[in-house]
Amino acid sequence: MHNPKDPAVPLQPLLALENLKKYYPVRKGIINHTVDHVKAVDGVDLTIYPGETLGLVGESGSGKSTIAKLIVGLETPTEGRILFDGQDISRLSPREMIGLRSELQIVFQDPYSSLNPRKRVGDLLAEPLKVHRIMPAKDISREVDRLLELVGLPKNSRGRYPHEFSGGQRQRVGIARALSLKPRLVVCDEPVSALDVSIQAQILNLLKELQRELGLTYLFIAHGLGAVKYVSDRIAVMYSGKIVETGKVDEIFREPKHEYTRTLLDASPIADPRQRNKRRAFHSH
Amino acid sequence: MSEMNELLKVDHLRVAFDSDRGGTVGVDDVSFRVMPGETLAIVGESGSGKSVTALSIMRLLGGNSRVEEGRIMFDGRDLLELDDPGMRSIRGNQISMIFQEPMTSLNPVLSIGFQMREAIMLHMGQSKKEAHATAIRMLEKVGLPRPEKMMNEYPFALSGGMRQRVMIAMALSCKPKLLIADEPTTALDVTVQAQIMTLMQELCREAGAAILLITHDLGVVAEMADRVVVMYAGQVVEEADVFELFEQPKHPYTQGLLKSIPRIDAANDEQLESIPGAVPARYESIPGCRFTNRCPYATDRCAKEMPLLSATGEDHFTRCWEVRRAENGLREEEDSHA
Ligand SMILES: Nc1ncnc2c1ncn2[C@@H]1O[C@H](COP(=O)(O)OP(=O)(O)OP(=O)(O)O)[C@@H](O)[C@H]1O
Ligand SMILES: Nc1ncnc2c1ncn2[C@@H]1O[C@H](COP(=O)(O)OP(=O)(O)O)[C@@H](O)[C@H]1O
Ligand code: SF4
Ligand SMILES: [Mg+2]
Ligand SMILES: [Mg+2]
Repeated sequence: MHNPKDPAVPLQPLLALENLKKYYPVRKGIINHTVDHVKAVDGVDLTIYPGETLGLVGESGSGKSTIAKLIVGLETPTEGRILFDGQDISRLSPREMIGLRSELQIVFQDPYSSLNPRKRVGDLLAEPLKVHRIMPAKDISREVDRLLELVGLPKNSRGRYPHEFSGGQRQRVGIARALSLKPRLVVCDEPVSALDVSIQAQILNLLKELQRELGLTYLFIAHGLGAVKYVSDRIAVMYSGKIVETGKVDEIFREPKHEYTRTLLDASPIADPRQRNKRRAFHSH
Repeated sequence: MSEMNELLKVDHLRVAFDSDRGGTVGVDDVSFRVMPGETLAIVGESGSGKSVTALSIMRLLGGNSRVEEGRIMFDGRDLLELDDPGMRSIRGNQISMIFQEPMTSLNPVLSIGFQMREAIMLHMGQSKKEAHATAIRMLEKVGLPRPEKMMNEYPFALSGGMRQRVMIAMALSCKPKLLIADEPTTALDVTVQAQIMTLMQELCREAGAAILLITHDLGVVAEMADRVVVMYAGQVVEEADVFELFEQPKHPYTQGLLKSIPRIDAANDEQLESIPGAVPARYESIPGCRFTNRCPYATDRCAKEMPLLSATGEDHFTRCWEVRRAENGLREEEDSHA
C-alpha cells in the first residue's frame, strides 16, 4: 500500500503482525501434564495501514478473537511480534503497556456482559479519563457529554445503569468508552453479532462515521460477510489459526482464490430470493 | 383469497404471561397459515414473539402462560381444544420441532440410538427392531458417517452441526406433516448452516412435509421460504409471498428492515439505511401502532388506534393504516386476515 500524498513513498503500517503464534496448552490424563496444544493462532502475518478498515472473517474457533486479545495485550503471544507504529509491543510489562492502552482499544461482541452492571454510564465513561489522567478533573464532565453526543446517546444517559439500555444503546456505550482515550487503532470483535438486524445498521453506520470524523483505523472481526463487506477496505480470511487469503474487498468477493473463501462465499445467504437458483451451496451438496 | 386446505391456520392468537410484576402479553393478534408442503418463514427481532408462537402451536409454553384468544387449526382440528392425550398424539408425530440449541432437546445421559428408538416406537408403533432399523436409515439420510456407530454415541461427543443433523433425523423419522424449526442454525457457522438448511428442505420436500422456519436472518428467508410472516413487537405486521415481500415490501418496518441489511452482492460505498430508535419497552400498553415511534409515515391516528392485519393485495396482508389507505381508499370496516 502506498502513501496517497506521495505514491513513491510506501505507507508505514500502523500495525504489523509477524509470524504471530498463540498456543494454548491442553491438559489430558490423570497426572494433568501437558500433552498437546490448541494452535489458536498459528503463524499469522498481517498489516493494517493508518485510516483503513481491515475485515477479519473466518469460522468460529478459527482464532479471530485470539488475535484481537493479542493485539490489545489481553494475551501474550507464544511466538512472533506485534509492531505498533514500528515498535514491538508484544512483550511489554503491564506498566509499559499503560501508555499504549490509550492508543489501542477494543469493542467486544457482547454489549450485555462487557460493561460493569453496577456502574452508571457517566462513571463508565469518566473512569478511563481519570485513570489515564487525560485531562484536568474539571473538564471530565464536559468530555463525558461530548462522548455521549458522539455516539448518539441522550445526555441524561449519564445517570443510568447499563441494564436500563437496549443492546444497541449498550454497544454505543461500549464504543464511547473505547473512544474516550482517543485511540488510533480500534479492534472491533464482532461488534454487531449480538444485535437485531435493524440495530446492526445503526452501529455499522456509527462506526463508519466515527472513522471519517476521527481518522480511526479498525480491525473489524465478524463472521457475517455482509457487515464485513460494508465496512472494510481489505479483508483477511482466517481458517484454523492461519490467514489463508487477504485482498481488497472487491477482489475477494469477485475472485476468491482460496478454496475456503469460496466455500464461505457460497454458503453465505443472499437476501434476494431471485438469486436462489444461481447459487450452489444452499441447493446441492 | 385462497381457501384451499391449509395445513395449519393460526387465527388471532393472543398469549399472556403471569409474572410477579403482573401480566405481560407475549403475542397479540397473530394470524397466518401454512399450506401443505410449503416453507413458511417467520422473521422478527429478538422478543418479537416468534418462539412464543411456535411453542403455542406445540402447546409447550410454561405454566405461567395463558392463551387468551384465538384458534390454532391443524388439519381441521383446533389444537387448543385438544385434551392432553390428543395433543401428545400430534406432537412429535404429525408436528415435530427442532430447537435452536439441540443440547436442550437431547438427553445428555442417553445414547442417540436409544433416544431415536424410543421416539420411533412411541410415535410410529414400531417394534424395537424395526425402530432400530428406521433410526439407522434416518441417520444415514441426514448424512452422518457410520450411522451404526452413531447410534451408540452420546450427544456431548458430537459437534453442533452433527447434533442438529441428529435432531433433523429424529424430527423426520415420524413422518410429520409439519416441521417447526426455531432458529435451527443460529449457533452454527455459515458453511454448516447452509448444509443443514439444504438438508432440512430436501428431506421435507421428499416427505411432503411443510416447514415453519423461525429465523432472524433475512438471507436465510430469501434462500428458503415460499411465504414470509414478519413479526414486530408481538404482532404479525406483514405476510406475503417471498418474492413479493422482497420486491414490494409494504409495511414500513419491513421496508426499513430490508434496507438495513448489508448485502454481499451490493457495492459497499452506499450508506446503509437504518431504522432509527428501538422497539418500545412496554409495547403491549400502546393503544395504536407499535411501530409509531420509529415510523417515517406515522400520523396522529397511528398513535391512537391499532391497525389490523388486513388484505393489501393478492395473498398479501399488512398491518398499517397508511398502506391500507393507499390500497383500499378508506374502507376501514373490511375484516382482517380471516
Ligand atoms: N415464560 C415467559 N414468561 C414471561 N414472558 C415471556 C415468556 N416467554 C416469552 N416471554 C415474552 O414474550 C415475548 C416474545 O418472546 P419470544 O421468546 O417469542 O421472542 P422471539 O421472537 O422468539 O425472540 P428471539 O429472537 O430472541 O428468540 C417477549 O417479550 C418475551 O419476553
Ligand atoms: N483461553 C483459552 N484456553 C484454551 N483454548 C482457547 C482459549 N481461548 C481460545 N481457545 C481456543 O483457540 C481457538 C481459537 O479461538 P478464538 O480465537 O476464540 O476463535 P474465534 O474468535 O475465531 O471464534 C479455539 O479452538 C478455542 O477453543
Ligand atoms: S400504522 Fe402508521 S405508524 Fe404504523 S406502520 Fe403504518 S404508517 Fe407507520
Ligand atoms: Mg470470537
Ligand atoms: Mg426465540
